[in-house]
Amino acid sequence: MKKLYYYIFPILLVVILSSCQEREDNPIYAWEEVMLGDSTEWKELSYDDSHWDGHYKDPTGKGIFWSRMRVKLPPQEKSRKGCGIQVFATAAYEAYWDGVYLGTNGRLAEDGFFEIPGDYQWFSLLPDSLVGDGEHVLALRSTKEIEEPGQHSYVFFDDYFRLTRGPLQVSKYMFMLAGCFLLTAIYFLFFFATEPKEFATLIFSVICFVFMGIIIMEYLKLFHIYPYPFQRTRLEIIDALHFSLGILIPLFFMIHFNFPWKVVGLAIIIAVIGWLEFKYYSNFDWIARKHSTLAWVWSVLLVGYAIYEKKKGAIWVMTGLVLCFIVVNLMPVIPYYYMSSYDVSIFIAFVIIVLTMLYVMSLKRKDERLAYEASLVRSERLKNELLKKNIKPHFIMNTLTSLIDWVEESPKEGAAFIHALADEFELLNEIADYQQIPIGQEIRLCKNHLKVMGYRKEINYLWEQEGIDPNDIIPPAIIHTAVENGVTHGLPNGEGNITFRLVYEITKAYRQYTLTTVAQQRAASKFAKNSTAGHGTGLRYIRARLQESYQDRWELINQPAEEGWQMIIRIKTL
Amino acid sequence: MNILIIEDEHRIARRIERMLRSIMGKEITSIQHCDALEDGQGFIAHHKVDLLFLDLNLNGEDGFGVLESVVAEPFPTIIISAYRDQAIRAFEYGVLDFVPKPFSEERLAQAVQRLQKREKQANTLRYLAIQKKGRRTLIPIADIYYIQGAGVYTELHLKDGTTAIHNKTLENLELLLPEHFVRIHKSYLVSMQEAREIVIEPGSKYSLRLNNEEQLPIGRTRYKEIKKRWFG
Repeated sequence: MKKLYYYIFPILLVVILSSCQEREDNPIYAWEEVMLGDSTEWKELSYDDSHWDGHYKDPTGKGIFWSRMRVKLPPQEKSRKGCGIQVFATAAYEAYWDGVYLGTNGRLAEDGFFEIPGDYQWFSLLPDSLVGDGEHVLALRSTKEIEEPGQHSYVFFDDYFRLTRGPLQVSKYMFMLAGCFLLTAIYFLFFFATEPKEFATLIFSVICFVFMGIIIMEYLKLFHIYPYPFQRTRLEIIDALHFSLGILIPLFFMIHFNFPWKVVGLAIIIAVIGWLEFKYYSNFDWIARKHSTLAWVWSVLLVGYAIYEKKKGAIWVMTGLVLCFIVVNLMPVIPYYYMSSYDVSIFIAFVIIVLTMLYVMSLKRKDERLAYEASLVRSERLKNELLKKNIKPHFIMNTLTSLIDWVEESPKEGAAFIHALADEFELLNEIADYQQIPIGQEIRLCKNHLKVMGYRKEINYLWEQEGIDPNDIIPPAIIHTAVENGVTHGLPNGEGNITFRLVYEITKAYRQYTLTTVAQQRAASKFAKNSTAGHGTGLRYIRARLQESYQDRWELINQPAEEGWQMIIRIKTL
Repeated sequence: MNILIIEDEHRIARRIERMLRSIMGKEITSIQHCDALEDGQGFIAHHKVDLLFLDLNLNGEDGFGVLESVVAEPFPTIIISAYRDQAIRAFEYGVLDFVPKPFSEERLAQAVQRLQKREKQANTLRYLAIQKKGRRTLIPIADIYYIQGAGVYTELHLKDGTTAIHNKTLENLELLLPEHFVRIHKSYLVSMQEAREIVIEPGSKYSLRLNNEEQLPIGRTRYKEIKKRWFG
């Protein structure tokens, strides 16, 4: 899997960057100069506009204004044919090329008419006679009734078909990428639906959706013709998407690397980007960059923490983040058309981040799978251990020896003994396949075991219980194991009795079983090599069973008590 | 004969006792039962014991620590245990017999017979347990040159030149030790793997020279058999 990434990333990079190669004859590009007011002279090529304002002044609602864009065509041998222009402007306008009327985009607000907004992107063919070498001017006679964020109008001059097709050429790669993000998002959404505990997969899925959303909204302008007021809506959507990324990416790392101060971290992040959004709203491109930068900074901090904590895969994520930094800072050096190279670099960064996220998630999945397999093995082992209880030589051979003796000495009692033994086998067999059983069944098992042991040891084992809810469930044979320990280590009182008392208590915080063995305890032998005295036998089994059913929500207290020995099993409420 | 049974299950202890009485009859002077090793040890310290029946798994404790402590005692030990797989290891420690549970009277009689007839068993003994300065140590059989009887106890002469005291009599040790330990004299039990030659001295005195140049007397009555079996 790791190896695959080594190949995938360079291949993707090549695919994406292949659209970046520089063409020999790029479209010619021009910015506007703006003047409020109206004059027929202003459409002419010969008009001297040197005193016009090159800097943007918002002409919204101020009636008619003109913008002029000077297009300088370099000398070339062949005469130009089939050329056209692509205009990006947020206004309704009439367009003139060297004083010749080309057409109208929308309807101007004049002579008592309302404005019909022009399309943000507008194409026009140019007469072949007006595209000779040298300077030309595109003049727009415009009105702008609906406020738009500050943006210059600009124009591309090129072969008409290349102009109209070019944007699609660029955007096809981006849409392939968006498709990848969409599939990834859906896959992980399904994953989350089946595994709702995995919150990080939901975050990841949403991140992929957002990446896809940003790509679509960003490149919408290249293939979808829309009236200029939608430009603002579009930028707002992009801004909102960047805003959510600014939260989601750090959130993903927080959840994935199990960052301890999630709430505080999240509060700081939301506060900072919320303030940024509030303060610099409508400065769309700038703010999107800031969101991305901040998301990067948070991620570096969080992943740095994860590296410090030696979390798996953190180093790779950090490598990815450093790579993002390099790409974003290096890409703008490469000139690019139809969109800013910063945009392209940010999408490459998205890919890198998604790849590192996928990688760390796959690492985690692998760990979880291993843990799951281990838990299966453990469950199987516990089941074996339970079944083995009654075929352990110590139990079975001693029981059989006693049994033979009973049969020889007193056949009637012997038969009763055999029945008790048969019951014990049957009960154990019944519960062996379950991870949890009703306590009623467990108590039957205990009582039956005491009956068998009574025949063997010739001790009178008594059973008392208090507050038992027979339907409460617990892991199988844990009380039974504790009873076995009590039988092994307890000394009968003067009357030959040992009493076992099981008490159930339930509170809001936990429920608990207390098994008291009312008997003096045998001293541990100093000769024992592997001393299992102190009720060690079977404790491991009990712990493993509790861990299996309640993870870390349990407590086992095993201690001497006034009356003898006490084992408390406490299960905390979820 | 004074018999001690250390067994934590009353029913089984009573069964052993009943069977022993049936097998040995009047030979038995007393039978005592303890249900924990501590009690047994206490009994051994203050009473004469001639034969011990021991359960290897007492009250949930691993029996081999227990075993080491009793095989150092003067009397022979017969193990009665549920753990058949521990038999070989038990013999390595020097027990007279290993009776697996569940057992019949015949099997128990067979074990007792081994003691009565002084039958040597197919031997796997590997260690002798001794008490040295109050601490129990296991001495590998391969480290022993010879054993000298000294009344109720014996002296083990080891390859490193040291000696160690064992609480069992030469007779009881002879029962446990492997075939190559031969009684060459009423006071000497020698590992024939370490014997080099028989030396005949004037006056029909015979002695055995060991690899370490030490010479031990050979009993007049035993000479022929030893010569025939080991130097023939």
